[in-house]
Amino acid sequence: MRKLIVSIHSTANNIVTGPPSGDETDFMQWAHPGIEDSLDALLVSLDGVDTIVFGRGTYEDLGRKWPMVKEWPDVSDLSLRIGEKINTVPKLVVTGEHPLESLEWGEYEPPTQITGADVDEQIGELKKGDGGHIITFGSPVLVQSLTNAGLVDEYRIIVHPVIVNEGRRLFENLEGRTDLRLVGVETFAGGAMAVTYAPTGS
Amino acid sequence: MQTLTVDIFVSADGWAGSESSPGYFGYLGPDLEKWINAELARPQLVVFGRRTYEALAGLPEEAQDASWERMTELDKVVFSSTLTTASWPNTRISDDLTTEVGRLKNEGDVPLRTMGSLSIVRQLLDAGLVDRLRLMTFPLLVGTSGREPAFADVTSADLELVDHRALDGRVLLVEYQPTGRDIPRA
Repeated sequence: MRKLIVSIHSTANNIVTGPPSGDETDFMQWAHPGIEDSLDALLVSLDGVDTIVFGRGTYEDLGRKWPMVKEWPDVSDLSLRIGEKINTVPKLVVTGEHPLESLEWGEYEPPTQITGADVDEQIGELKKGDGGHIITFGSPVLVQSLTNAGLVDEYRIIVHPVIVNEGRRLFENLEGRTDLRLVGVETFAGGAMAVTYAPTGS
Repeated sequence: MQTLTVDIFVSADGWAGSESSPGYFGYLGPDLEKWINAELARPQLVVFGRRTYEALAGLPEEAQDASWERMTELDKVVFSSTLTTASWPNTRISDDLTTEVGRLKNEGDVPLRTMGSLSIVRQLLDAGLVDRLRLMTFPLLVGTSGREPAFADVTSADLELVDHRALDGRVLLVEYQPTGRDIPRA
């Protein structure tokens, strides 16, 4: 069974998006310092990953930035290596019952869509197939759905040292209780922390 | 100047745990119990909102353990505009939260500490009175049976990570100091 990893940035009060009034994914300014500090760890977390899954919002946000990584001003070697991985690994965009007409990823192979009313079942089938780890980025609604379907094997939550007063919370609308095992905690220069949990059923 | 420490017990999905038995989401273990008792053993003035005070003061006898007895001994202040009498020993009532907490920090002779009391925690954070914020995160997702989100209606705050440790290999205690600076913005 392939391992499904949820990787997501959060405030200390469980907020995972920007303000609802604006572009939810582009407003996470509070996450930028911690993202910079934790790039090494991000590269390590991509080890063994051969599929990236996200929802539409995160696809649009990351798709605006990563395909152009070579053109970022003063781009670090680390970002180039992470970009190479993100840009070349097969990507699936969950669009469910609202499919997009077309998808693109700069000059790279475009992502494909997971559509329909049975997204969780399709991801369940994906896990049963051959391949490496599957990772999700952002995509809180998808994360909630995958959690409710019992499909997540590992949560990697990067907790930033900040409380914010608006935005979506991670883990809304969860059905029932899920007990977790604390797998590890890693701290970064500016006080962000990667906290890793695994559901105890898995 | 005395410090004000805010202690919040919370599930990994952000629901507040209760300070009263059988609490701790079922995750009380030797390290956590030791921490709770060591923290209570220190000289302190405990600051409560009405609901947490009533829940603790009204605990049934069979739940009144050693840590509850210790809380009985400690000086306590309940901030409420509706409570008129407090029968738990060593408790007084006040209705002017930020002024009184400010005064107690300046003039008091012991550190202040809140437990639970989310309604007043938000006001204390907003007023810039909190010196230490300790989040005790329990390893579970409570789901929709969670009673109260721990941080509803807070104001944004920039924090500095002071310390962290895992108790019983599973409960994550993270200590932050509010910096008073604005959060990172564009």
